[in-house]
Amino acid sequence: MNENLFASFITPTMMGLPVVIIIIMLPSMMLTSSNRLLSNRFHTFQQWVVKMITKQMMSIHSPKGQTWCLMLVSLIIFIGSTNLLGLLPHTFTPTTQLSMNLGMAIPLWAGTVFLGFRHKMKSTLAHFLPQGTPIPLIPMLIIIETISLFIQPMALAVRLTANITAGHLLMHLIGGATLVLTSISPPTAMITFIILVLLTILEFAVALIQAYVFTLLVSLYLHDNT
Amino acid sequence: MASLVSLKGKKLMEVKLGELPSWILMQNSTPRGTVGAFQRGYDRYYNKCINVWKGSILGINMVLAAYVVFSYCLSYQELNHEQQGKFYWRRVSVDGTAHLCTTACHTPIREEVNRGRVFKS
Repeated sequence: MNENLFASFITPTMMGLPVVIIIIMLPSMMLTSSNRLLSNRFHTFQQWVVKMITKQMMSIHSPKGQTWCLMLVSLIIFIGSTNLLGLLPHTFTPTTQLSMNLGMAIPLWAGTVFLGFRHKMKSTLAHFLPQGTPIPLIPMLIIIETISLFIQPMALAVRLTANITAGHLLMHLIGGATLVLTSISPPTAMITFIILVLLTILEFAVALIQAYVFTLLVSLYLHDNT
Repeated sequence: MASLVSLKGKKLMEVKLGELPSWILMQNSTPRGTVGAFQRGYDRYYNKCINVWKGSILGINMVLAAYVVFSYCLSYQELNHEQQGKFYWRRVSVDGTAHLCTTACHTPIREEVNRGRVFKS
């Protein structure tokens, strides 16, 4: 049972070839591009979503921060679409892999930090010491602030991994319980099925929210450093 | 008789199941007519699923369904082993008491049967 529970999180291979590459590229294959002013419905809807995301995310930034627009909007669309595609039955979700999320979080966070050190050195170093700190506490607080800075990419990656993985595991468990209970006690199975439906709705929300949170935090780190 | 006369003008979806053989016989069975019928059917499928301008959401749903089937094929072996695991859980020992044993998935079921008194469901 324990082995089977985590079997859906193994990276899929087909005859030794990693199929996970195709699965990661699949959301980008489903998003369209068009050079027409008035496109079809799907593309118009996609344009509306991208416009809404851009306005929401990039309005707080300075012109220097707004150069990251393409990166951040691509990030939220990628994570959101990957999470949503992972909610289909039997599919593999790349964002359940810590390796992938660390691969997204560390370079983005490091980029923002280096940008801050490069352009606003004094201001970035000043972040290590909050205003109004009593003098005896300064060394300890600088250590704590440094640790909290280095924790940021780990927290970004682990948050996304844990949320998506936990949701999928819960769905597996409750689905398995519903199946088993169908033969034992149908009314209880009905209750578990209703819980499963509600959980699935929650997972749809979590998929989008986690994408938003990831991108928002990267955008905040960028805002602090530009 | 009145129904036979009006049957010819009906489309396939409007024909009742009992009238289907007589409807097929009434259709244009020349090669040109048959090819035309298949062409019309394909055009309907193309305009609904594949044509980006006139298509509906059915086209994308087709892609997602194909993706689900593909993922199922990838995870088929794991699901098969999980199904086989259930056999191992119902092994009954010599004195009749049931023991819950889990063996590795790669152990073939034939060995369990040859040891005798194994009940599989």
